[in-house]
Amino acid sequence: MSDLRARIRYSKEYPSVYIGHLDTVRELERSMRRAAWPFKLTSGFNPRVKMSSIPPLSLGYLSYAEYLEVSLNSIPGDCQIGEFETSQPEGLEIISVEIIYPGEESINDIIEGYRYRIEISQPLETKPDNPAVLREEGKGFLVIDILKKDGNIKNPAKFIDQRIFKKVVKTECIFKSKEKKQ
Amino acid sequence: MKKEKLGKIFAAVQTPGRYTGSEYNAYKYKNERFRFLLCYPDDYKIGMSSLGYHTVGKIVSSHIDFAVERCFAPAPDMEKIMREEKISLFSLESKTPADKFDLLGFSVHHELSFTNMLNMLDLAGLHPMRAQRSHKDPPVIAGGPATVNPALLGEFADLMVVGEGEGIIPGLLDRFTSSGSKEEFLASAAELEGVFVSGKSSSVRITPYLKFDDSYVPCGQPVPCVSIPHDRINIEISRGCRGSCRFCQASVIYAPYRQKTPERILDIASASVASTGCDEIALTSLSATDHENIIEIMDDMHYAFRDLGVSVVMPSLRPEDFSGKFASGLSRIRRGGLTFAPETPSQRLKKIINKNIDNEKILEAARQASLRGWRKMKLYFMIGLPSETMEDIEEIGRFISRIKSETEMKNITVSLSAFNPQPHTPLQWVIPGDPEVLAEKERRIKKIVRGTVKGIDIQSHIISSILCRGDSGLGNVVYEAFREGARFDQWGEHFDYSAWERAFNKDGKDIMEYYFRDFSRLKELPWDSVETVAGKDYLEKSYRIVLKLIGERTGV
Ligand code: SF4
Repeated sequence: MSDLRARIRYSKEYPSVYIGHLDTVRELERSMRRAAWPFKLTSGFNPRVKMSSIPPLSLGYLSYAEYLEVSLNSIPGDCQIGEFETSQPEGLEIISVEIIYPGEESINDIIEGYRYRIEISQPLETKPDNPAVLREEGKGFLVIDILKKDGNIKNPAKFIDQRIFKKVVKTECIFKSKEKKQ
Repeated sequence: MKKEKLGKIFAAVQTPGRYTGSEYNAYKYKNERFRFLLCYPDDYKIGMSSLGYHTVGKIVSSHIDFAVERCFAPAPDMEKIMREEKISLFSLESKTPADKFDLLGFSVHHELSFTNMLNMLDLAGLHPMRAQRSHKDPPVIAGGPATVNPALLGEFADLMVVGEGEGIIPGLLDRFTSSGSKEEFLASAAELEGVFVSGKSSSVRITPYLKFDDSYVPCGQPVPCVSIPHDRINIEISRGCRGSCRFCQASVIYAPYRQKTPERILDIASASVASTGCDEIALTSLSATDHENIIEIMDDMHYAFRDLGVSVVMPSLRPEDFSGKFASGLSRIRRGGLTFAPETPSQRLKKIINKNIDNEKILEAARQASLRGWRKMKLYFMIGLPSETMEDIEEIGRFISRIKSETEMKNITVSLSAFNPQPHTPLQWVIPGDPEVLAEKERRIKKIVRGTVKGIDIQSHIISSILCRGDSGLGNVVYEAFREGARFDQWGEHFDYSAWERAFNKDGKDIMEYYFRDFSRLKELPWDSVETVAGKDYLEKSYRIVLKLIGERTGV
């Protein structure tokens, strides 16, 4: 991607976990507009803000690793970033705003997978299939990594019976290592 | 209610964002003396699209002694859970049970939302019928366009704010703060201009709010967290209409015509974009391009917001706007479809309803707009107009064919509605069209119009027509309809005519007798208690012209 961008990492907690993906992205766009960010618009008769996000999180899941990238005409000032960070609805929180320069890979190119911490009501009967890797299984919880396969990162419910899920939290994204990238 | 319990409920219903109350700018309780629950008797998506609803929220929350919270009609899946789990109607923001609020205010925009209002009261543990509630229950206030006939609504609401709320609500809240009891408050409120207290007031006058330029505007309103039909900043640039179509209630109840200054409009737009972040501004009005500074306003908006990706839309354009001074400004607004409401292509009927929208001008507008790349057109027609014949209906087909052959507009939608003799209009004395004949006309239009035709729900029209002209004698019927399961009567997928039939039967009343009621024989109309700026004499004069015009043709 050749644009100057802001890479926004945000978390989703109660009650925003019940707000769908597109509505969440629209909310973030609005908070940037409230802070008068110098974002880039698409050309055409009805210009839109140029943005891309990682694939949707399921409704009801918590997350500390949601990402959105927005194309910019220039770097927003500290006050604009500060205003954006503090003007979020309940349950949405901005974790970081990182400036990405033209030529650098986009977030979707460098993500390899997601890590989930899942609270469960009963122990696992069978281990999840590849590409889900069970990293840890404790009393009442488990941690799994789900890696990209054929360009997709599947949902935990594809590997584990979701009836035992009590609470699902996406804790982080797994990125390509620098060496691999080169 | 505990977070865990709420979480379970939210996980089980459709579009839970409608109930979370987590929006940016959601109201906050700061220990004010009194709490006001702002209720909208329809779905979240409809209520959150309403400028009137947000304006009342702004007025009440601006009062030093009042905190506001919101509440909407729960969708059927939510209602089911609430009834099964005995959950009382609760506010969105703090999830406080509705009956714990000091005042309940309903913004009632349509008589087809009466059953939702009753359902909300019932879910709150309050009796839907006013007479059955006790002095300990919070007063129930109704506002909005449906209050222009307080006779029937007064069976459910304790008091009604009739007409424009800006000038009335602050004083009404003051009366509440200084009253020791519900009885004292109602008695004191009855003295106020624009307030009708059920069972106490005998008349009320609609008083236009003349400081319209300075009026309350809901900048900083809660920003919806699910997509809604009108997800935008609505700015009412003018109020009232210079036209006087004889079927139109809005032009009578919002008279006289007033407008906001371009400076004020730009201030509101800037404050609203900064406080909501919305990407669309709609310049709303009954006739936006009548504003004498409309071009200046469009230019201001364009330059102020273009870098922020904010587009400007104008829901109401007239055909002449596409060729006159306004045409150049059209490139400033978002290109959607071209929408006009000629109501009828028949010159004779246009004269009867006094709608001065020329067919040739519509054709010219379609030509001009198609040159600018617009390809979609939507035309609203009203059927069942007084003295309408099948020949008038045939004209609709011919008119659409002309547009298709003489312009580049290829995608034309015809949207039909049935004429409803609304209170406070010159046609209020007319008997509405026979439903069977309406159905026949609709079928004919669908046959002759080459394009999409959006038809009428005739059964819903029957109920709407009865209720808008309803008197207090129908209170029990509405209550029975609610008990029979009627909800969301404005929504085709939820409307249940059989519930209404059962309700009328139970009350020993005949639906069609009510529908065909001849109000021209009545000296007093149920809504005569409301005095409009135009007054009944004007309506009578205008009605006599209609009779003359019809008589000229039929020789009666
Ligand atoms: S129908 Fe439209 S143009 Fe006619 S009076 Fe009403 S608002 Fe004005």
